[in-house]
Amino acid sequence: MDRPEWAPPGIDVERPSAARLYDYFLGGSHNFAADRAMAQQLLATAPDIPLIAQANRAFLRRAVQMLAESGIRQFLDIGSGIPTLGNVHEVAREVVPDARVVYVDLDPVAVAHSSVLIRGQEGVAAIQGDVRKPGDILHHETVRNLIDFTEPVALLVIALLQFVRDEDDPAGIMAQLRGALPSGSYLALSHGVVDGWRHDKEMVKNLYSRTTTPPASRTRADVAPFFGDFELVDPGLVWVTQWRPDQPSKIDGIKAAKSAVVAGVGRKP
Amino acid sequence: MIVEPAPRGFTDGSHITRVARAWARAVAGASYVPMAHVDIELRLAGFTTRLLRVLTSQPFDPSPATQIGVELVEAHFASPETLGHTINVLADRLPPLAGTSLDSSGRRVMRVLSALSVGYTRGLRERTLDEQESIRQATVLAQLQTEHALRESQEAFRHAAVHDQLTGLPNRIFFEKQLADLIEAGGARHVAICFIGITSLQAITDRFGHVLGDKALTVTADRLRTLARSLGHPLARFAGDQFVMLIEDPAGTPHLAGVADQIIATLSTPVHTDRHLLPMSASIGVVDRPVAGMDANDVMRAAGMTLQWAKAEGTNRWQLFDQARSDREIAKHALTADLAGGIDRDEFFLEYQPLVRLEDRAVIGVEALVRWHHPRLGRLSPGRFIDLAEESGQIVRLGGRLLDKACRQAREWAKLTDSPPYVSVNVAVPQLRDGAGLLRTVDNLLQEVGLAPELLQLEITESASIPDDPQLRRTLDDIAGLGVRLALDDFGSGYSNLGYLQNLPVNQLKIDMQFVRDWKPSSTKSLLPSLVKLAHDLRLSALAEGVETLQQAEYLESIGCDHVQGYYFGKPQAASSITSLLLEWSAEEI
Ligand SMILES: C[S@@+](CC[C@H](N)C(=O)[O-])C[C@H]1O[C@@H](n2cnc3c(N)ncnc32)[C@H](O)[C@@H]1O
Repeated sequence: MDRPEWAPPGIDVERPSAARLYDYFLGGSHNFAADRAMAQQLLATAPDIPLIAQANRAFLRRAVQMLAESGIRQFLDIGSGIPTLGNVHEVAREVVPDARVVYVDLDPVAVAHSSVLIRGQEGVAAIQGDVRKPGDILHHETVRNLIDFTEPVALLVIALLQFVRDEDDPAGIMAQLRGALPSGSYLALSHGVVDGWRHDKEMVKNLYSRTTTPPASRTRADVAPFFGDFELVDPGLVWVTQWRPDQPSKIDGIKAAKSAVVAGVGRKP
Repeated sequence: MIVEPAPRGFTDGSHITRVARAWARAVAGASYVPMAHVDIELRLAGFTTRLLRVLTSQPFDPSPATQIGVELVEAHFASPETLGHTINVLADRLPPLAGTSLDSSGRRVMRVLSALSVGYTRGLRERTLDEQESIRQATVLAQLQTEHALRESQEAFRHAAVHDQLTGLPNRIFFEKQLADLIEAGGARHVAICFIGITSLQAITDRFGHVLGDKALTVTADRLRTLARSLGHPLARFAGDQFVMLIEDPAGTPHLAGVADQIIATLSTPVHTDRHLLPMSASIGVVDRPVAGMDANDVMRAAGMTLQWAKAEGTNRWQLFDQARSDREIAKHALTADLAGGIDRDEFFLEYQPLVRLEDRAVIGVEALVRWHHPRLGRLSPGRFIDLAEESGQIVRLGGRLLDKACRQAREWAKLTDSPPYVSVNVAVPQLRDGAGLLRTVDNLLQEVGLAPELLQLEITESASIPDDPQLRRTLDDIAGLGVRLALDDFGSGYSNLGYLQNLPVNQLKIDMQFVRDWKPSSTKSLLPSLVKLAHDLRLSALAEGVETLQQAEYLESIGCDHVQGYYFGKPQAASSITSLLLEWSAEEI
């Protein structure tokens, strides 16, 4: 049955979701048989995916830590996923105990899971939202209540935009989101790209197309414009493992270029 | 993170750190651990220290290693690969640290690692089950939330579908459903509908634009809503400037009258806006019907019709539905619908009434009078359909047909006798307005039929529009220019500005039959002499209509009236009867 336009997105546990696949790749069990079956297919084609997911997640941790240390007290995490290990509010609050965080995801299960996880915690909220409708997110009551848009905000768009296709105008979406932030705000962004990818691109794309959020193919060069006029902090837009690694070592288990994810943090002038 | 002190006497901190570092390297990438590498190494160093303590315990008891396995998982060193790599590293690195004989320490290490594996596996399973449980709960929760959101959005959608955006009132769809439900439920015995039209709204919108129009509408809607609530009657916005109020089991007509009066009083209060005071007015059609056997469509049609009646009455009026009037209007409507087909099927025909010269009682002309042979209703006189033909615009086509018939008949009679009668045909205002068309029709007909123009007379009704309308005047002049006669029909019954008569190109005044009917031999007051004189003063002939008695005829003759028409001299009759009459006359003359 086709859902009418005005219906909220539903839950189809038979259909793999990017959020639950990602959880699986991070070693989590917050997933269903359909997700695991597809994950196995993806792993057969691209056995590096778990390492890539880990590297991305580690970037998120490092970026949030750095932002909190720079004095940011409020975080808007869009495409936040299923709460896994090292969630933004946990990382941020180690540095800024009263940091405020709003998690936004399209996946209703991810949102429900987040809400349960943060229940009873002040200053943290999870809402369902679609980044393709940035206005709805920015004007969401919860967002307005928790985030003060006159104070610097950290906008987290981590491993999200590869699920937003060009026809949905990601450039316009990002411009609108950036525009809503006051000077001194930050954008932390990572994006899966096809350069550096040494596995079967088509196969992976086809598999992901069966999820609720079919993917887009972008290159490193396509990602830089998402920062607009934000000034990239060191080391700029780099492979995700190269962004301020904890220690200069090969210990990450994956070579930089093979991570197939670029990442950066920009500051609004 | 605090590193537990190494069991004294066995090893020092740097050994432990080396093991931890090797361990950390071995498990890197096997699972995601949300910590920086330094922290991972510290954490593993802590576990190493505790494992060494278990390994060297006296008496030897490997069981505490189980707990360490559990804690490894809890610290997120959690994947099958992590366990494999952990066993490999520890099996190699622990025995040298334990310092006991390789043989016995090898066996002890095996038992410690096996205890650790048990704890680790148990921890991993617990964690998996916990996560599965939490995703299950999240799904249930999400499903509930989605259903709730779906219901809300459906409700919002349904609300939007059955409510009017501007006023927030239920809309027509909602109202019709409500009425249908009421009829179906059959709980009420009677139901009345007040069909309310805000008659001032169009003018407000025309004058001040849509913004003010909408404003007036919303204020009106609010007033009505308040009234409807206080009366306890449902209200809906039916369409545009129309609202409906539904009254179940009204307590008789006086009650309905009271409600209608209240609505009018409420709605005729002007609306204040920032800069304007907008005068408001409304009309209401009220229909009261038994519910049993009620047809919702039919009721609404009746309500709409009644509202039209109320509007026709003037502003701020209400009307109660009247079945007889409705039947008449419906019949009229049906008849109008039949007109066009009737013309096509040639169902209209003419009868002719003699126009007689009083002087010698000669038939100098005949008036052609239309009849409709209606297939269902039989013979209909013009009173039943001429107005409908005018309203529906069919009169031009019908009039053209009749002119044609009349001219051809006149030509027949012209062949028959040396002094043939002229044929006088009624022409309606819409035909005159079609000036050029009428002129062309008449001109062509005369040519085609070969009729002398003076044998055709057109009768126009004395009408308020003729004197002021130069276009009509020109048409009359043009027709007169063809040599066709013109007569002014029903003279004295309508327009009374005599001035224009001087310049009208007519030949004859037909004095309305009311003057003859009102005349008595004993009358001392009658306008007839003046009217005849008036005609003569204008150099027109005077014809009196409706002459039914010899006395009337003689009186008219005595005052110098030229011509007469009426039952006394002949009823409207078939063309053939006129023919016989003419034949008789010409025979007499010979
Ligand atoms: C790969 S996960 C990234 C999770 C998290 N940001 C991280 O990097 O660890 C991508 C997430 O984006 C979400 N997502 C996909 N399309 C989205 C959209 N249009 N609006 C909001 N979230 C979306 C998915 O549900 C999923 O949870």
